[in-house]
Amino acid sequence: MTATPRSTSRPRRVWVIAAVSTAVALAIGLAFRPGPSTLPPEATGDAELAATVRELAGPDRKALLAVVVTPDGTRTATIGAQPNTRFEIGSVSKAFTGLLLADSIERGEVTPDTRLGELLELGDAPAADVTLAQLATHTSGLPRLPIDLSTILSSTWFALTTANPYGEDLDQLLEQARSASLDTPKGTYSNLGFELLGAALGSAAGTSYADLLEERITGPMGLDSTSPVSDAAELGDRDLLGETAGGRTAAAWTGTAIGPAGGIRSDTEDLARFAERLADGSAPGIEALDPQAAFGDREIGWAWITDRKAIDGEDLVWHNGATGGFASFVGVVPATGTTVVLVSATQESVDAAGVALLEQIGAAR
Amino acid sequence: MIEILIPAVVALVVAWVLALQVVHAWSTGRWAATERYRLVVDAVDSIVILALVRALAAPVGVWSWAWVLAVAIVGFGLAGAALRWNTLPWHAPKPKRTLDEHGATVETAVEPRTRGRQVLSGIYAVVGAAIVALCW
Repeated sequence: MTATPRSTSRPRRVWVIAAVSTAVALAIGLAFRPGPSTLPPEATGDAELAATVRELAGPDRKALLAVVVTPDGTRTATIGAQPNTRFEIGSVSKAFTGLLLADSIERGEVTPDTRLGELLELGDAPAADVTLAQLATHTSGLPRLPIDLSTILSSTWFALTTANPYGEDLDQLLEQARSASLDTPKGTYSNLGFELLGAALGSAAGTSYADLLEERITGPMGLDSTSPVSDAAELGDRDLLGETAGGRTAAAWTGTAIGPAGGIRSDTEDLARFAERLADGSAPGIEALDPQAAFGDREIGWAWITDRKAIDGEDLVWHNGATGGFASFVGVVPATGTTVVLVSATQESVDAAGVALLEQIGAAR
Repeated sequence: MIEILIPAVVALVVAWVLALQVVHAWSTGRWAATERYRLVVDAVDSIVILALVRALAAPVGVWSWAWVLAVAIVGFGLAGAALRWNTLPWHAPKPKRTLDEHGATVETAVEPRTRGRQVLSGIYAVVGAAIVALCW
């Protein structure tokens, strides 16, 4: 008696090879499965705050820093890094630039209506007629980023490789401004606009944006570790590299031009001092938080966005940020002298966690 | 809406590319690959699209496990390609069809361009490997 032939026409060897190949591929897939790092269990600073923000922001992050300032005092927590580790704060840099604008206005150096062309060599380019107020409230008509081949290529290259998509110097920034049109709808969030605003404020004071920021904003507040980084070579051991939401290490965002819009780094200790000065209203240029214009269904000051009655009936003034490997949020409830700062070394928004933290600590009380 | 539409379109494209690879490699019918060049193109396309999705879309959560499953499917397809490899020529051009004076179809064999397909396959694989390296 012979065995019944198998119904399949493929020999057993074929299926073994297929199974082995699939298993090897599965192992490779598991090894390279996209996803962020997980926060380590250790934290420095306030253990209760660390546990709270770990829950609110989620554990899938490389590192996380948190600052809470209330009338009762200041609490900080740093997870996955040290309190003096410098994180990229992304577009929270614009909030610093807003303070700088308010301070420059107060000094009489510029006015909200000062035209960009009075401070930067823009010739008869359309951008020369844009005012500082328009730049600070995203109503200039400038695009989010320069619309040219170089920017498109560098953005694509960044997306593929996680390289720094910026890096322009001031001359390149001015060249971009000269060729920019103003036909973008008012209210379009513009990195280019804030790059120009920072450069213009530096020019008005006869110095660079970085030096002016140190002299008038970070220096007086004692923020010794807070500064824009113009070149990757300036980065040191304390400068953390963040990761994308998918877990790829992202290059640091550096460049002279990007500084005022998103190139500043800071650490937990400095951000705590910053938050304290925001909470008690003593930060230089604090008038920047006052609303100046409508911004969609919100209001906007010099960079700072106001959500009316957002935290248990009280106004929330905030800014957020994101770079290739970081996400950030700073929220102030001026009525109660409360500030929250969150910065994540994984590019996954912390906005909702920041708002939730404000609500949880009873920021409106 | 756009938050749903984009992942859905990406998922469909990936599914289509992977399905082509597996069917070309494993099918014995009309969808079966008839030349090695097709196997190379399918394999490179599958690997590159998964690398691009990992880099650009950063699938996390459930989607990250779908990505792992997709990698396993590519492995299954590669096994089929490897098993079929020795039985296929580099190039299997379709015969040229013409009509004779009576209107009947006449098929004429076309000389395969083996060397050209080998070079093309090599270039395709190198470019694919470069894209994958960039995405890592």
